[in-house]
Amino acid sequence: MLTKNCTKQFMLIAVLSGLSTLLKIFHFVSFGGFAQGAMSDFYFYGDILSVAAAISGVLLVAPAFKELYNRQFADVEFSLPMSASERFRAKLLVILKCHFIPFAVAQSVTVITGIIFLNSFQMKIIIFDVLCHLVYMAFTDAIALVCVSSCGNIVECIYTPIFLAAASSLIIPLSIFKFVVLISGRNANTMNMLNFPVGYPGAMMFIDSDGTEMTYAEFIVCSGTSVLVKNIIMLIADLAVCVGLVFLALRIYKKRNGLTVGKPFVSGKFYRIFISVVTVAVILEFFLNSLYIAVFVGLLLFLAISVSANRTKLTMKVLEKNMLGFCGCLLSVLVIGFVSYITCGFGYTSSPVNDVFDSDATGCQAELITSKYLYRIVQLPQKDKTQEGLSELPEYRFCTKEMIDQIFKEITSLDKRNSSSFSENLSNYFDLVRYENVYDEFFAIKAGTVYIMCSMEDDKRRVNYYDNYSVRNVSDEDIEKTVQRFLDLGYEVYKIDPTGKEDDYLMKEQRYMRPAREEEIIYENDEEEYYD
Amino acid sequence: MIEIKNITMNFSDGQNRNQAPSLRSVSLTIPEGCIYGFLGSNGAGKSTLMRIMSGIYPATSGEIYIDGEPVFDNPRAKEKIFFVNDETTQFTNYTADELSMFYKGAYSGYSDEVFKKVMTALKLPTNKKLSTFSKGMKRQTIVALALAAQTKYLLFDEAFDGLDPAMRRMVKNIITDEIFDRGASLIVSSHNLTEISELCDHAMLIHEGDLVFSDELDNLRAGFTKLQLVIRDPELADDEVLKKKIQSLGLEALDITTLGSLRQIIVKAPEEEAVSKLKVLSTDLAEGVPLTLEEIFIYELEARGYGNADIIKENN
Amino acid sequence: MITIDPSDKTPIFEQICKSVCRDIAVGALLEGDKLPSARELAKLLQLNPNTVAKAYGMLERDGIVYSVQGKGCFVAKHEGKATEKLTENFRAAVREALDAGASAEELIAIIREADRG
Repeated sequence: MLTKNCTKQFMLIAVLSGLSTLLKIFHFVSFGGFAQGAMSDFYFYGDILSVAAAISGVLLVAPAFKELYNRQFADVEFSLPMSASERFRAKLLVILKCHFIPFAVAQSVTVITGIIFLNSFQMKIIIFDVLCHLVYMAFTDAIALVCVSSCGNIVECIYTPIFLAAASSLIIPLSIFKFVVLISGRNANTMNMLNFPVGYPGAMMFIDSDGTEMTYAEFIVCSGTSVLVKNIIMLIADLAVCVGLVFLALRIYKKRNGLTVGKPFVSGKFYRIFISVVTVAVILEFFLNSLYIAVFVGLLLFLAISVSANRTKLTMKVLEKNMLGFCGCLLSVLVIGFVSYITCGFGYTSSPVNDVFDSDATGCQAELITSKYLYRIVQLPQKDKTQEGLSELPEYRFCTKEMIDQIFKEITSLDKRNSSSFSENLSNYFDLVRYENVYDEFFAIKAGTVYIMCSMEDDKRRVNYYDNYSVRNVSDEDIEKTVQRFLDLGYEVYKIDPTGKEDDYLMKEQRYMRPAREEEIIYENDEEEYYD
Repeated sequence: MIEIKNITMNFSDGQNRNQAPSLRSVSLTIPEGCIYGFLGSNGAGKSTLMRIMSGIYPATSGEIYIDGEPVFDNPRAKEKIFFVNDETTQFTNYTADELSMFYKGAYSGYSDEVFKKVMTALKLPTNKKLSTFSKGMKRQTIVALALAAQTKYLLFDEAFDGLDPAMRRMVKNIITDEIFDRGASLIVSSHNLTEISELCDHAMLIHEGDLVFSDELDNLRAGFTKLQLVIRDPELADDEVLKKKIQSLGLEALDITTLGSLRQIIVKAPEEEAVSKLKVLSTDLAEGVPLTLEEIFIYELEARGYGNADIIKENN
Repeated sequence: MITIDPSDKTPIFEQICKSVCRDIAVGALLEGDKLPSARELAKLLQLNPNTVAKAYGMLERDGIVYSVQGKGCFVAKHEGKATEKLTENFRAAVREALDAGASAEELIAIIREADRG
């Protein structure tokens, strides 16, 4: 009988899943898989519909738990001779029946059709995609279960899962991006962990605007097996978190009875966690972009939620208490930001860069810019020892891991935060947060960049770059001091005049090769490297 | 038997601490095989008590035992209870058959035959959605389900009022069988005192959260007597004086009205006692008359200082 | 015919008792006749089952009927107890009237008048 409450939602999910599969199958059949980088619109929209079917679960969980917000159903269900666990289990079955089954059926059809029409590489993408969507579904339902168990009004039961799912998916990636990446000033393109074990997969894609044209699934699968494996492990961990959330929901549900029907937020703890996570996520979104927008939008959202949550007993005292909560959220972000500021991203920039030096095909370049010149440090990979002209130079230092670490160390030590006093750092931090648009500048200006050419499996070359944006305002003298230090340590340093008026030259005497020309230096990922 | 022990209910939102409790240390016992009436004005606490008995609300303090088992969050105890509330809107999307299956899965003693028998007798279709039914038909369907569940205790929260005479007769007959066969009890809350008076053998009255009385109806009625007599003693012409005189005779006079030469006196005593003690006041006194349930109510409430007995009068 | 009058203020179980006694007294119910079961009577007259059960209990206690396990209630040997029950009130009224000063002859005259009418 409970399923009757959910029939409309079941139909919606069935339709969305069915359409999604149809579109994808059409793509498989007519395009025979994925041409070079061409993911046809059919697959793309099929994907979107699949995600929509997964997220529609939020509309399904609430009606399955009607007794929590509807008095008549409360009278019926709470007087039944069933324990809370039995009731919960019955409703879980309904959700499985109405959400998981149509979804799973549709996805299975997609996979089976894919097996028929696609090759194994493309199948990797399909299967990874299916796994992701499974997580979308599981996470939506799990969060909705926790939210619905904690709320007593239909309005809350619908909007809290949506907000909380989005916020909890974004909050970890956002925190990492803002507190570690942006504040430390180190921008690297080696982000290969796109999934975190909490929330919707691929949330990171929405944060780093340096996105590629590929879909999320393609990006993961094309990045190499180890990255793929890491992300699959994260997805499985995410599923485990979802299972944990279901148990949490059961614990909360057991405490519910007919008394709390109608009360917007039944669990005070849940309310505080909910509003904090959502507000902090919103503040973080605009943090280091524009503090005013962050505070304005955060405050607006916070007020909206607290007024709505207390709509039955709105008093000044309640509002005041809630405002303190907002200040707490804002303060936490600012304080953590400051701690991160003075530690340069909690030690992010000073920690050694792992997994970069993996073979004798790894080479390194670094750039430091003054107002007049560009200094470039170039260290060739070990395997170039056999190149003509170099084999006769026994004292030439080919690239090693220690050298890369040392280059990083020297460059990051230029960061003036290391030499400022606490109060200087504090006032710089306030200026940074209030006035600067760190976000935009971060992606526009390259400074203190280190490029590392690695090898990938199957002999393709790949370049990682590491911007150390924090060194952008360092004085010319300090930079030249560092350049001199590199020279003293035996590194190959080129002095380059960007205007082209002066001759570019190698600062040491050895002239065994010409300076690297602009067009020969590899700056970015070469997109063509990724496809068959 | 249902034992209700010192049930207190506070609906507090945490902020309105001065709000009066909805139920104040209410204790009563509902025996097996009876029809028990819950009486009281709106908001007095009847529905609240029923919901606590059904395990829908947890009481703030106190306990309820159903055949020895505490009821809250205890499916074994809830197996013995079926609660019917006063709404009809909760099942509009379902057919009677679907509801029957639902309750069948929940109550182990559910009987399909009883359900079919009742629905057939009422000429109600079991495969149409309840949204096509009138309010009365919806009510009848829900009562049919309640009867089919064959629980030991049936709680009707003002559910009887919406039934037509034919359905009432049917329910009464089925209940009668249940009382004799299984010692089942029906607990009915209502504003309609006449009906309760005819239907029930026990009753209780709640007023603003306090239990005013709970007893067998016959005992209640027997405990009050109305007499009309002519009192020739001029000293007793004043009602207050007469009241004190009656008190001195060992009786409690609840009401004195002057109707022409007659004085109508209501005393809280059985008829024999009243007549024998008041004979000194008038030689014409031969008999007294029992009170209706309504009259008992009004005077009980007034005697306890609840001057709002008018509310009950108007509700009827 | 066992009947009750809903407008009569006498308790219902008393009315049932009196009704049964009346039937026995006028000979409508004879010794050994089976009374309707409490359940049947409750349904028939739309009365509260306990009330009917109480009435039957009283009748049995006073020896007017007896019950056989599994079979029902039967009219007991007519020893005037039924009549006695009916005349209870009458006796009390007679005593009262005599106390008040009425004469026996006056009372007898009243009885004769009632019998005639």
